[in-house]
Amino acid sequence: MSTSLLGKRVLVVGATGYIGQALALGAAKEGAEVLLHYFSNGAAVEQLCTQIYETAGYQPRAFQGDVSEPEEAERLIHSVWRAAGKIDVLINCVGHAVDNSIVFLKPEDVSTTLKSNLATVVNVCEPMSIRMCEQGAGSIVNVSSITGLVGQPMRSLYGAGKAAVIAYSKALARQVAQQGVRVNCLAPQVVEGGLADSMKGMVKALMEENTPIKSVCHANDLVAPAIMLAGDGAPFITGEVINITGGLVTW
Amino acid sequence: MVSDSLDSPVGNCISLENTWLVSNKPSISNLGIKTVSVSRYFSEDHEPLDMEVVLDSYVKRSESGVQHALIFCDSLSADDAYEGHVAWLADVDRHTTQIFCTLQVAVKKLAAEKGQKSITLVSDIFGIGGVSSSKAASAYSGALIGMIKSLAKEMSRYDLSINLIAVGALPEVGIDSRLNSAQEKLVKMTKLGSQVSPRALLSAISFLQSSGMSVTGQVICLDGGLLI
Repeated sequence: MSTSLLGKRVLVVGATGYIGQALALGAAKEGAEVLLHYFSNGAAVEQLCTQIYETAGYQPRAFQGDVSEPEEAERLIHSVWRAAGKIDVLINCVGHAVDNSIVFLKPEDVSTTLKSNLATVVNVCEPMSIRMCEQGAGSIVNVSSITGLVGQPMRSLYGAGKAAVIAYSKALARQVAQQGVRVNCLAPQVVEGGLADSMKGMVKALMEENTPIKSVCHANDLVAPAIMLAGDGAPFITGEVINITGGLVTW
Repeated sequence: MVSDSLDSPVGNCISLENTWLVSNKPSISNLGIKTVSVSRYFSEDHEPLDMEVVLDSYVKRSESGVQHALIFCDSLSADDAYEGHVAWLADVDRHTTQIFCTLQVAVKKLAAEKGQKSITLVSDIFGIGGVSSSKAASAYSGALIGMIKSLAKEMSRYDLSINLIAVGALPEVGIDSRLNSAQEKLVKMTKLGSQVSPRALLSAISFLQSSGMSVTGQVICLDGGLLI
């Protein structure tokens, strides 16, 4: 087992998704004490707890809550902080895509998408960053999407939500930098097992063909960049976005 | 095209007779844009307007048809103007929804037109690098950038280009008055040491409207070199 996160307490929000599971397990393998948040998938979080126990030798604590609701998010952070005593790293992996042409989308789809992609991040980051500033250290890693940077047809609202997360993260990074807190983003392309599974076979094959590494992105591809940003190895990196696209997007 | 004109307060003029111009800013007249009329997306009481009705009304008055849409987006306030992040998230939602509705009716109208068509949003630079005192404005401007990039890809099959001009310090367009200190700071930080001229904005609009599909999904920064 590696030790780059040894002694660090890491809260993974959205731990039962494909990316969340990989990042939680990855952080545990690096020596972190992982705390898990989930919304509704109790079976998945139990399975993840078992995996972490088998890998890292401890049973992580899990917390349920709907972080799209500000009061619940505040309550979650309060409970986590009280239980853990401190949180060194926050990893946000919550999001949801609405796929449709602008012609068919409805105004209420804007609110739904912003709530599930932006509000979920802001509702957690705001109370967490205040506490991290008080303790004088912390690292936040928000999982956005390459769609937020370069767009994707039929995903104008998802792109808007993920781009908003990036811009918010940069603004927050500037705000809390002097208190020792860093904020960064990951921007992966669609992940196998996640959004990639909802793509048509032809589109998926085209994307793989156009990706210089000739592969689709896997959730595990996010682990090393997330660990790097989360730990002490990147003290001068904040307000940054790392593309994880196998060379598909190089600008 | 941009040309010098004595009847414009800023000494410049651009004719946008085939452009659906949308702006809530009264200061838009300071730019010297000649157009049939200016549509709003919020009423003067700050209520969201039905943009289909607004566009229909414009089309009835327009004699030269609609080939382009030019949408000036409001800048959101600094965070301390809101009572916490829940309040500013609601404002981001409200403004993003109204810009989306404006884009939606513009896309439906322009996709069916023949010839060179474009949609240009004018926003601020907060969404690119983030501003610590205004996470709301940063998130909102960022959302607009993400939205136009996806839409540009989606609408390219209809020969409809969609771009965004991100403006730094340009008082004539009016960054929210509550952001004055940020605006002054922007001017000081600008490499050229001055505000962006209205003429530069008019030139950028003209360029984007005449570039066909060569330029789409782009964010053009008019910030005097601030974000080099």
